[in-house]
Amino acid sequence: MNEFLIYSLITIAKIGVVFGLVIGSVPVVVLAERKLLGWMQVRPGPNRVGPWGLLQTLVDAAKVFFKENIIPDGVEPLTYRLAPILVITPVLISASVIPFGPPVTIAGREITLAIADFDLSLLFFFAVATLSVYGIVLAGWSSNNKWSLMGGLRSSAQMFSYEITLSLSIVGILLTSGTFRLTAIAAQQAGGFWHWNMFLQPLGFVLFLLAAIAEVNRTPFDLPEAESELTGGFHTEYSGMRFVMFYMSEYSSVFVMSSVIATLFLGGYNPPFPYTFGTSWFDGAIGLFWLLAKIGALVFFFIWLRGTLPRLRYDELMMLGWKILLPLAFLNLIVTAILVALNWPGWVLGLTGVAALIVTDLVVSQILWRRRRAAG
Amino acid sequence: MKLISLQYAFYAFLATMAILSAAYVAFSRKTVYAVLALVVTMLSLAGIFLLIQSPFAALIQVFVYAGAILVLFLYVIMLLNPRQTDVTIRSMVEHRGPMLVVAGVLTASFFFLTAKWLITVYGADEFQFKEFSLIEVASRLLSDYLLPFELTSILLLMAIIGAVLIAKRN
Repeated sequence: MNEFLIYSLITIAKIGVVFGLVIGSVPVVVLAERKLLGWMQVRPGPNRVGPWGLLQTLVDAAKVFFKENIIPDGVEPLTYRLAPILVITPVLISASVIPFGPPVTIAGREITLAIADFDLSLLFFFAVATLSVYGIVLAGWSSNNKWSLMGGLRSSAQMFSYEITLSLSIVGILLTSGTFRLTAIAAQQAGGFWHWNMFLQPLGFVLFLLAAIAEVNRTPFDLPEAESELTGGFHTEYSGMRFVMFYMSEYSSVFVMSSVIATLFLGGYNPPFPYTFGTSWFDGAIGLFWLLAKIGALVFFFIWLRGTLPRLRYDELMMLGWKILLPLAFLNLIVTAILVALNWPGWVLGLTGVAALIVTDLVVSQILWRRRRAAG
Repeated sequence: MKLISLQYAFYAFLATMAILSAAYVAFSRKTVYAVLALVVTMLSLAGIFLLIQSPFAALIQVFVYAGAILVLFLYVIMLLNPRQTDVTIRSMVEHRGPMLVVAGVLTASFFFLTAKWLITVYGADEFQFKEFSLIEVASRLLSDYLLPFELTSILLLMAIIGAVLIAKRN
């Protein structure tokens, strides 16, 4: 076998594993969300199918697979069929740059535990992930339904408002780590949790987290599919398999976005204590375990927010994005650039970020309080 | 198959896609489909950037144009009531002759220029992959191309001020 063939086979195997991981995470995350939301609202959640309700999502999946695919009258047929595919494909492609573990050596061959490992892989992730907005907008437009259209409109406005914050808030990490390569950024955070970028870039972390939640359309930023206002939002007219594709893309993008947050800010596959990775397959499994644990914690955080916070109003969403988060992202970028150029130690950066967060919190809550008092 | 001919095959495909989708943008009656075709144009251009070994420009092309600017286009079109913005392009059909000449000249020059570029990057028949360096991009941008870079930022600043003025007037 020549080199090219072996390389192709390894890559195909990796694609299979990552695809299975991302798609397989969907029923788990859905069940976790329904159970956890149930407990937060003091009700049992799904508890009829299987022990403890564990088989509920499987049964739901089976039901929806056999459902009729209805195409309503008056839709734009081509884009109506195309939209669900355009939503889920970018999510799956963007998962290809995530490092799921340290490089391992199997049969004398070094294998990176990411499908694609190249310079600029972080830029690639953002470039591809932003494309999924087209599917949502097209779904809303081609459904020939006012609520769907409103959902699509909201989605596009929200996406490009928060995309700027999302991409600006990671420039701080690029400055401190000096690379666009996700595997390198993950490897740099080895040696205990105090090396994680979260503590080097606290402001960037919070900004990125908020913008990421907006980007995957989760509560409190789920205006494109606000049930109480828009029936179902952009996917109101969809049923059967096409609806499932929207559903899957939503939950798999939660998984993929969590894994990127974990890789960028929470040390990626590194455990929270000092640990030197060898190159055996077992060390790879340890890396995967810690990454999955961090993803689980982030997914829990997303669900927790959904159980706690009310949805933002549209003008509040725009105000938060353009008047608070974006200036803060610029501030973070400028301060980080100056401190990196002066070569100051990391803890100064961290403390500056925490201070900026506290000051912002005080100022914003003051403004909101005054405004509320003025309104009576 | 030699790698260089594979490059040319990719190039021919991407260039054809870029031109066809650009033509569709000009001639389509539905504005939403026109924007989608423009997305295809941008993605094809990104592919050509990859072929001439500038991955940074390619990804920025996807990120900024396809990911942000065209979403804004789509937003504006939908805000203007989508079913009414579909235009009948009678004037384009009336001037078909001159339009086709212009389109032909533009197509030929596009093919000529990009193919010439491809040859200068890869040499006549030798394929080599250059190491990409972000530092080189940044230092070139801030030394050799400093003047255009700063002029662009002034232009953008003017656009921002103009937008704020228009918003204030209303």
